[in-house]
Amino acid sequence: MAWKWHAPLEGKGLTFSILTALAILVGGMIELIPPYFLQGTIDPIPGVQPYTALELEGRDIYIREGCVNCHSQMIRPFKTETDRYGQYTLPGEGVYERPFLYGSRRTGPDLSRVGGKYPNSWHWIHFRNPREIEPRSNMPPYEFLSRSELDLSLTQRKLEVLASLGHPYTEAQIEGAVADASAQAAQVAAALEADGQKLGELERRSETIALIAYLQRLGRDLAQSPPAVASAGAAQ
Amino acid sequence: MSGQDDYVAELPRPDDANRDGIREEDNDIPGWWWWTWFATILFSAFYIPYYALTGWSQERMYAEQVEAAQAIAASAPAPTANPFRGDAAAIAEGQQVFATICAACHKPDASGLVGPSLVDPYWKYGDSDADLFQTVAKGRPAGMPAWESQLGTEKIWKALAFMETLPKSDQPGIGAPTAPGAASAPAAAPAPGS
Amino acid sequence: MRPIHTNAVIFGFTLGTVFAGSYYGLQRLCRVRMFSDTLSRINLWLWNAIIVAAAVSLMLGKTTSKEYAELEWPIDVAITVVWVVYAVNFFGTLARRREKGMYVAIWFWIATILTIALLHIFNSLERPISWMKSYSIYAGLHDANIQWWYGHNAVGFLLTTPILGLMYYFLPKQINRPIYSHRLSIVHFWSLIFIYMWAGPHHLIYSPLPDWAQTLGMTFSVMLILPSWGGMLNGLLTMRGAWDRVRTDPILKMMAVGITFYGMSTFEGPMMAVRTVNSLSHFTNWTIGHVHSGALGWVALVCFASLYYMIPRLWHTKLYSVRLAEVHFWTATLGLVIYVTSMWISGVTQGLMWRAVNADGSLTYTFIETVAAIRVYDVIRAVGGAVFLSGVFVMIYNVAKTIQQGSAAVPAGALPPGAVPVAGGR
Repeated sequence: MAWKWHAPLEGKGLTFSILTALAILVGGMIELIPPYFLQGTIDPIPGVQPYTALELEGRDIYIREGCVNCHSQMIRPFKTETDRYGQYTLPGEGVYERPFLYGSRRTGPDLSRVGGKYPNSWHWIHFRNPREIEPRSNMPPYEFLSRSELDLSLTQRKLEVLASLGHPYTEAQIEGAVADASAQAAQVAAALEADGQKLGELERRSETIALIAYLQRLGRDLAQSPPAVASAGAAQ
Repeated sequence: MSGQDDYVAELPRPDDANRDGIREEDNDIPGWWWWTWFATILFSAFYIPYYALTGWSQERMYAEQVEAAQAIAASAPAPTANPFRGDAAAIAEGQQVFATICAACHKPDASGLVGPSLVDPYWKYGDSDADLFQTVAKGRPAGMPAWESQLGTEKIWKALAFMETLPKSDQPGIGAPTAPGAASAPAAAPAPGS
Repeated sequence: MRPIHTNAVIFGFTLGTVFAGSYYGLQRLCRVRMFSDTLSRINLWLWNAIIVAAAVSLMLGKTTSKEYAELEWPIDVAITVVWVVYAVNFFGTLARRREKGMYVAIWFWIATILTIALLHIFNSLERPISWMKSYSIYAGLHDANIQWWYGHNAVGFLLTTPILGLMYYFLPKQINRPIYSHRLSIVHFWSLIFIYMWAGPHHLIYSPLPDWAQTLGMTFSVMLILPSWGGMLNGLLTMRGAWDRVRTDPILKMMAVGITFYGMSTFEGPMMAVRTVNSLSHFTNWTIGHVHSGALGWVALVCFASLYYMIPRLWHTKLYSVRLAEVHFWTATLGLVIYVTSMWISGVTQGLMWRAVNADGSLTYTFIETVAAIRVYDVIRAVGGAVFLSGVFVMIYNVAKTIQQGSAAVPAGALPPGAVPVAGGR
């Protein structure tokens, strides 16, 4: 009987478990370990910078609100995708993405190149009520974010931890994280007011501001290294 | 644990059929199962070299798509005057495009919201056909996106043909230099810590 | 909302049933009491506490955003504790078994315990910021690669192997027929667990992941079809000669349909991993439909069947109403078909519209047009989901009635050993 050899194994719990463990380890090791050490071979992209303190807070709001459930941040190398969204996603872009936010479905459009695509005021209105901009949109309104004050109590700690993980923040940036974030928020709010939006005192320091700062950053690092990635309508 | 043996007493006796009464036969595995499995392995044996050894890469695949598209684009030079001016069918189509794309920022009546008014007398980037086409196709720095790759030339011209038919206003509208709050660019991301 | 939904289904319902079913089956297959009742109780209460904590923390927006691993680090630590408790209890029982050979179901549970431990630990490595916030130690592409190694294999080893274990135990018990082929069990067990672990990168096709890794992920997915089908074959062929019973017994019907959906989605999955198909299906509702044909069709139906088997026996009574179970079967199947079909159509529609181009190479549709186009399918999908859910309510009622008519104070010595964990299976 060809299969008799297996019978003794069925009587040995430990051996069986060890063999099982070996079987499950092989595939993972071959696929996970090499890419990790191939890091050096991934093209370093000169323009890519870590997020500013405010953008980082905006990103964490993006995570908290579950934006990634409906919006991908990964553009595949098809012309139909780059026409719609811009330059396809490159390996070296993600070095400051913790965690990654590729997403897995597009109920809404991809956002990895949305930075600079619309004015701040567009986002401000769109967060208040997406239907004001696009009547057929199925995105929920996020007006409450503009009534929720941005919490900067952990910002400095976040930068510290990220620096310990290898993000090149300087001492000054870590020390000045809160001041930097407030300054940038004031900048965004001023731009909004220049565009004719009326902001209350709370709204000027609201979470929406951080979220807009984050969204306006997305994809800009690539677009900014001139000449702006020229091919195929990238970085629209 | 107390009472443990009681529980065990309830379980099948050693002389009962093994494994809680579950029996197993040892029938042959159907031939088609083996053959199909080998077929999938064979498939992989061809698939891997096909992608790994023929120089295929997704970057190259992408480059080829772009080349093909550029060839098509090059064969049809863009006209400098709107070819659809006054064409009723085209204007109707242009209205559709305007409603889905342009109205989001310029409002359905083009009086301006985030983007400037398109019915006032003031044109930020010129109002010749070529200028307008350039504005829509390639975008403008203050926040106007480039629409060429998404819409193609034809839809842009049709949308522009529709836009001409909208009722005009002679007052400076949103975005005009005399109106409050001239449009400003989105705040560029400052370098960290700046 | 979505993470709450996936976490509740996977960790709340499925894993709850798996704990219950494996405790139940293991004791009978080993002919000993669980290693430690205390550990069983810890497992029950801590696990349910975790589920509550998970729901609350996700609703508060405390999430790592990594799919199926959204929970923040203190909960991750608690999950590790539960898993260790479960493992010690499981292997402790195994070591003291009074039965020489280990039955196939036990093999699959062993694979589950080991693999999930490995996946959970490596994917959840994070640097805490505060009590409810942390950053992954991996960045960007590497994070994605690890995540989908986890994500894919969580499907494999939480939603496939333990359920196969349930099938291998409860199917022959209910139908009272021998398993079709032991050697098929051997072949498909080892090939399944070996090949499964390679297939993760098929979630990252056309991503920046190196081409070779994508290709491996894809080919191993295709090679996985037949090992997966080994389980289906063994299940369906065990039923051969007893189809008249399948027609009248809702538990067997659920098993049969569940196993069929298993076969279907394990074929669909690898097809979607092929580069050409994936370019269409990725990011669309098709993926969601696929997940649900697996989760509702295979996992849920087999779990339902197992619960219908276990609960009357644990409370020493008969099922309150076989007819209601029958109703549950039909609503579940109908809901499933409506749901999966609408998602399939809407996914393909989305994919085709995204890539449609005009003669001059420009895109035909704007994104919002694709949103509007699939709205009707979203409604159909909701109907399908509601029908499926109504069946679950029928089951809850049926089970509650069953427990009510059963006697909690069973005669001394007859208390079924699985009683404790069952309350954990919601």
